[in-house]
Amino acid sequence: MKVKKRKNLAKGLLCLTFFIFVGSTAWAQNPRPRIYVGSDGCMKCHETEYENFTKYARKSRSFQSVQNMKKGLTPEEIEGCYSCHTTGYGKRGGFVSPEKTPELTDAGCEVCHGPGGRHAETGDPDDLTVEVTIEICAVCHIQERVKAFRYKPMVHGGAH
Amino acid sequence: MTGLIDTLLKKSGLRVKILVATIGVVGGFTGLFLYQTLSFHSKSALDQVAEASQHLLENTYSAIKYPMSIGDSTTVEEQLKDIKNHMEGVEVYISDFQDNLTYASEENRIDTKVMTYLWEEETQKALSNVMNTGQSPEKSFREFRGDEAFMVTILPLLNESACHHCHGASRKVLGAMVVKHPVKEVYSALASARNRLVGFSLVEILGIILVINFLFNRLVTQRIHALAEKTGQVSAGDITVEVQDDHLDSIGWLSRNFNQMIRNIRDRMEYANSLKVGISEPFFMVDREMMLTFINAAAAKVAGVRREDVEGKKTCQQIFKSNVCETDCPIKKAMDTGEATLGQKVIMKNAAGKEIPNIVSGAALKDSDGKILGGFEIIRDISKEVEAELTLKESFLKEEEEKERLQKRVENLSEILKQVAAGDLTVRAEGSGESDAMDQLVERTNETLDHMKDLISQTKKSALTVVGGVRHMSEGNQELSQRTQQQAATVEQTSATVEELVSNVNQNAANTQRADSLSKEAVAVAVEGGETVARTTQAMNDIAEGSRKIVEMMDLINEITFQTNLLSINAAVEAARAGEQGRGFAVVANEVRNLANRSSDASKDIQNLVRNIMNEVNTGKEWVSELENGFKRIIQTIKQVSDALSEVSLATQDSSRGIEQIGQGVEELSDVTEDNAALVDELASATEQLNEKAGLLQSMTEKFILGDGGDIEVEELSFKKSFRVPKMERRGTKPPTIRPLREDLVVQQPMEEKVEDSIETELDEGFEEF
Repeated sequence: MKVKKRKNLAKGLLCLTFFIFVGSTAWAQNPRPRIYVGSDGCMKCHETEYENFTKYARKSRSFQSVQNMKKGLTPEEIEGCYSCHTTGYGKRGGFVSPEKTPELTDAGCEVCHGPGGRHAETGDPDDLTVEVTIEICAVCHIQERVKAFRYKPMVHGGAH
Repeated sequence: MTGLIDTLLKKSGLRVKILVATIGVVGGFTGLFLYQTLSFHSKSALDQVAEASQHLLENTYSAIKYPMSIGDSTTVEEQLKDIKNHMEGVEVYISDFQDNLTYASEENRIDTKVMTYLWEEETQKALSNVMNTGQSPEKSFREFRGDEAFMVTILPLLNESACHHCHGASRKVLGAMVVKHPVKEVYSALASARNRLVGFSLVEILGIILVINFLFNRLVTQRIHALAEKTGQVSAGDITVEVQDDHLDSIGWLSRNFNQMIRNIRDRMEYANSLKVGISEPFFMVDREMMLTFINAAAAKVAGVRREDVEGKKTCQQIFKSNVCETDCPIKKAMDTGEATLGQKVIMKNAAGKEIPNIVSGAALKDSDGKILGGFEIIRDISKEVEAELTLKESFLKEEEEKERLQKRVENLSEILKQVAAGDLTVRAEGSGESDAMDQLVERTNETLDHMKDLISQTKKSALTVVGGVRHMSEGNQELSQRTQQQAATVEQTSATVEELVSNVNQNAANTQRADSLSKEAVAVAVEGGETVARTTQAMNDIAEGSRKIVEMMDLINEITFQTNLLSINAAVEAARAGEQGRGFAVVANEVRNLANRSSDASKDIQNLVRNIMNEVNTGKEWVSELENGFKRIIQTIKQVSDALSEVSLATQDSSRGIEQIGQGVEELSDVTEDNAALVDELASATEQLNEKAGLLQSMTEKFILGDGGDIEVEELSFKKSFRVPKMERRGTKPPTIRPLREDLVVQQPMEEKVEDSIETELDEGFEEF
């Protein structure tokens, strides 16, 4: 039984490797598509959600805190801030710097719903993470921060 | 400076000194008190402000800590606004590590440097130190600018773990919190209190100084001035002054002592004047230059001058013209040496030119420092003494002659008395015929010697009579002693006999009691025997009864035997009737009949035996009855014996008591005899002493020579020494012995024989010494 499961796992990995290879070959052949579009990119189709988000969710203004506090912080400490105060920092197509990627400076819609480049092109809901789970929130909202910043997950509150 | 102070102190009055001292002491102490009070008050108030400021800082920090930890800047800003609105003048600053103000109660100061609002260098340094080290300065700082005054308190804002999210972990100190608390009003209040206190203190000092000055002036200065004024008068020579001060304090005592001192001085001066005036002998005083300062009336009379003519006008040499004025003046000598010159003889010439012998004494007059102010001299005119001395010398020579003559007559009389002392009463002294006291003494001496001669002659005769009487007494005493001795021996014998009698009676009483006891035991034994006989009688009766029952039983047996015999006969008849079959039975019946016959015989024998026994028993009963009667008689007899013995015992006890009374009588008789013996002994002793004294009297009178047949021949008497009667021994303490009291005396020559010896014989044998 165990031997059979291992064989299936090996087959799966092989198929995954194949698709990655094929996919990468296909991406490599196309011009570079945008992966993160920023919250402003969502506004065209989801205006109501966007307004609610920017109005009520403090994370929509989170980069301002970095700006406020960066004085006196080391570059390493500032980069540490980027991981949660920007959109997609450290990920492909994510935030690089305020100068290079100004549209990704705050923690926008794609932090929870994932990169929206393909969805913006196709309009297919399947290209996004529609149903957000608490695990996605917990990447930044770790226990220590929850305690300090009165965090109430929007996933329960229906922020938009 | 010190010299100047000393000069000022010396020159200034007592009142000024005390005033200055009072001002100094009161001012000094009040100033010190004022300084202490103000500094304590100020420190206490500022400490309270600092504490309030610290509390404000801590409260503010507590209020903003949480909003800051969650990045809630708005709440922090609102808190600071509240502080500004509700706490007038209080400024709160929160700066970052670069001194830039992040929050401030004064909003327009945000993003400016906090150092701008700290005025004092010390405060700025403290803030820098807080930023660098994170150490709280643990105290508040005061800042002043113009009228403004603040209490500044600084608190470091440390980078705690809760801060790391926003501020990172690389810095230890994130900034500082500064609270400026206005203390202008506190200082104003302190200044006001200080001013009031200083004002009150000045008034108090002034009041104290005025009161002390007034009191000192009234109680000390005025009185001391009065005293000083009086002492000035005294020093000027006026000793009639007196200070009026009835206070009981030291100055009062000083005044009273001063008055007393003045009185003492007056008394002494009066005393000296009294002495000077009261000297009746010629007396004069001079000063250092020998000028007369005083001369009394007697001296003026000796010199033949008048006082008023010479006092303060002439020297002593000018008026006395003594032979020693130039060479050996006693006053000069005293003034030179300081020692008084006593009893110097001088010859003065009076105004008439007559030489007068005198004895003079001179001495120096000194003041209290020993300085010699002058001298005085006392003169005694000895003209009369010189004349009396000559008269006395003549009288002395006459007296010497008289004395020698008298001594010679006394020596003669002494020689006569010396012979008298040697026992010669025949000598007589001779008078000088002057009929003076000495001749009277000689005459009285001769009369005395005559009387002594008669007295001793009479004494010799009386002594002889006394000796004779004493001898008779001694003899009588000796007889009495012997009789007493015999009486004592007889009493002792009687006592021994009585004791023996008592012993025998007691022995009889004991034997009687023993016999009585034995008879009582015999009665008991006899009673026991009687009881045994009674029991024996009972036993015999029982035997007789048993025998009678045996006889009755034997009758029954005989009847049975008879019946058995009949039956056996019947059986034999029946057996015979049976024939051959009954033969065996006939044999048995025959045997039965034989047995019945034998039983009948035996029972008859037994009956006979039993009857014999019964007869014997009856005989025995009679005997036992007789025996019982015999025992009863024995008991009765023994009881009678016991009663008789009891009576004997009672009689013996009565006899014993009677004999004991006899013994007591004998003992009393013995005591009387003993007392008699002691009396005889004492009498013998007294007679002996009397004998000795008579002999002594005789020997003394022997020494005197009377002459003219006054010497009589005196028989020397001798007496045997009396014996003493020994103490009688008490009866009972020692067995009485029938023996002489003193055997040595018994074998001595009987008194009658000694009495027969004549007195002359004893005297011939010479005086026997006792």
